[in-house]
Amino acid sequence: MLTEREVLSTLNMLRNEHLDVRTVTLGISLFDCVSHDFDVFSYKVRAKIAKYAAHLVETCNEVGARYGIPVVNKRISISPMAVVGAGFNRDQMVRACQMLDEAAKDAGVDFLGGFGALVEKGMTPGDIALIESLPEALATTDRICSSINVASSKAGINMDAVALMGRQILKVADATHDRDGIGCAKLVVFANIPQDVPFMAGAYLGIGEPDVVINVGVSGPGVVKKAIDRAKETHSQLTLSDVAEVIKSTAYKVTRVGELIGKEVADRMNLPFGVADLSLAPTPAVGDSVGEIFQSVGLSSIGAPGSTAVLAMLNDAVKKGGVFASSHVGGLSGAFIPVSEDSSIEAAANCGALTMEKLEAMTSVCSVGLDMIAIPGDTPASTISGLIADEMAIGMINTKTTAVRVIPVPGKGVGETAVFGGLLGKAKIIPVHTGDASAFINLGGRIPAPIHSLKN
Amino acid sequence: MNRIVISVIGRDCPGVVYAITSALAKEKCNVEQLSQTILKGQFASIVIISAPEGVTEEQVQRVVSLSLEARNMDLTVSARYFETETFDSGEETEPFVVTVNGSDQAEIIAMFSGIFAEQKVNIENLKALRTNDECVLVFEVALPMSINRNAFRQMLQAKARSVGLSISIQHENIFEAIHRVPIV
Repeated sequence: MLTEREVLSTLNMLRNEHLDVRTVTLGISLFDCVSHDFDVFSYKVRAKIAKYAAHLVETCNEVGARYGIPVVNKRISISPMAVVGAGFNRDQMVRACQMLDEAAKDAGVDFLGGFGALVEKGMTPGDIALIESLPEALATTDRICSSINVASSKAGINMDAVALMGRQILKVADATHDRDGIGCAKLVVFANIPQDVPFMAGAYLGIGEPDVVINVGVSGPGVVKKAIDRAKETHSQLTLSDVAEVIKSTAYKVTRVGELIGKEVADRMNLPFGVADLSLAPTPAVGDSVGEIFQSVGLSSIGAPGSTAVLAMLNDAVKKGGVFASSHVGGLSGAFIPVSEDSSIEAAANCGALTMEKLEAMTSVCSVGLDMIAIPGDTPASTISGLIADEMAIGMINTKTTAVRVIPVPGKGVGETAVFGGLLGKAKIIPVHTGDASAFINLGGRIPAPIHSLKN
Repeated sequence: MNRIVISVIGRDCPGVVYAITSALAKEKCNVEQLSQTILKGQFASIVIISAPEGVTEEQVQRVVSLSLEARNMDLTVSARYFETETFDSGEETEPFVVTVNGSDQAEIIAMFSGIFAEQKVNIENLKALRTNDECVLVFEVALPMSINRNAFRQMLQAKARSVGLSISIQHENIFEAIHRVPIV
């Protein structure tokens, strides 16, 4: 027998607080599709994706309806294309990306991730072909996401790849200049990319992963914010210890929902369940924002002094609550601060309360990095590479994932607005430090792995 | 031994349960199962007892009533033989929670319980709450596997919409998952 409080609080979370399962991501290994013949490869990939993804959307909708909790996004992640298609040239990589886009559309998923490369220690011809193909590949497709891992705590930072990615990001933006450089919203540069992220744009299926697997990404910033607001009303002397407890308990509830639904989808599709990624991933909808949580704990907005401390507590409490709720936790698991995808963070950046430098500081304690930030279209490639290098250094030294997803908006400058639409949102262009990093970036080579990587 | 089911209903006060159970103990009746609840100060209890041979339901009803009256407790007692044959369609079911809320209307419960009766869906627990002008009904039902989930959902949603109410139909596991640490 359920209590009234259990029923009513669940309904409240669902109706007013945007409780949902953010993504069920079907990981599909493409290693058994490898062929030197592009057409054979393409045929095998299409057949394998069609075989396993045919009922993904339908199954997610059925399970979502059974529990009354929507599965907002259904996605696919694949083995890193630069490894699977290591023998392909640039043009074949473009064709592979277009073929995957068609496969994603046929399956009815909103994004397919894994058109990427792992180059933290060096680049193979396949890696270079894929990175060279990015401008055309991302401009001629709608649903493909790309992630390039250029650093790790074990390998250090591949500064040649960092320099190359600075240039490629500008080319991708230019190739999609008519859409405010939206191609860059589908391209992330990572340090320590996890092998099982279900969230885009970083989702891919790592080399040590099963043949086919279901991973689930839970979210719920709105639920956390409302829980803090309720605690403020009911506690006369609310302290941060209480707030941390509220976040932890809420993360537990949200993760249990994701785990239950993810496991049932996996069971119904007769596939193994991989991990639950416990992240607070915002959407542009009001009430589904990570930024609003900062206001609920007493800051004027995200970006105000104290923001890094709040984010550290939030990120940690989410993990603590989620880890007990799930049998296998993975992916990024923490709080995301994507500027254009979060109405409150976007507003703070818009009015100058949140700067690039504060965002960078906050990424040292959150689960991703400089995410969905619109920057001036005339930003030099070396400056973008410098931003990437800084972010990679934070990830490498702190043994955590960091990433850069900046969008240099072609033809637009500081104060103008870039509109990406849908989940990607919109953002006013914020200034980037004008100091020159070109001579440093041109040095190339590798930044060695830190001493604490030598753990054996 | 014969089984008897007793119901007691009336104004709540301290000592009600003692008055009932001490009277039963004197008659050497053993309480097998008991459930009680209080709604707005009104006590209601259902008790299943095993009574020695020869003790009738009239006797049990009388001794419990007398015990309550002796303490000036204003409650109504009724007792009847326990019928072992209970409702069982024999069909496998799944527990679902149907929550209806909106402005209070006299016929809401009848409206939805009517649909459940028609579809042979047994209501296993029902709570009706009223906060200000809003009414919330929480039905815990056993949904037979043979019922098409989508059609059932659509029928309930259409009914709720037609009278300006909102409704949700969810598997019970979601509430358990969210609020309870799993029992191991």
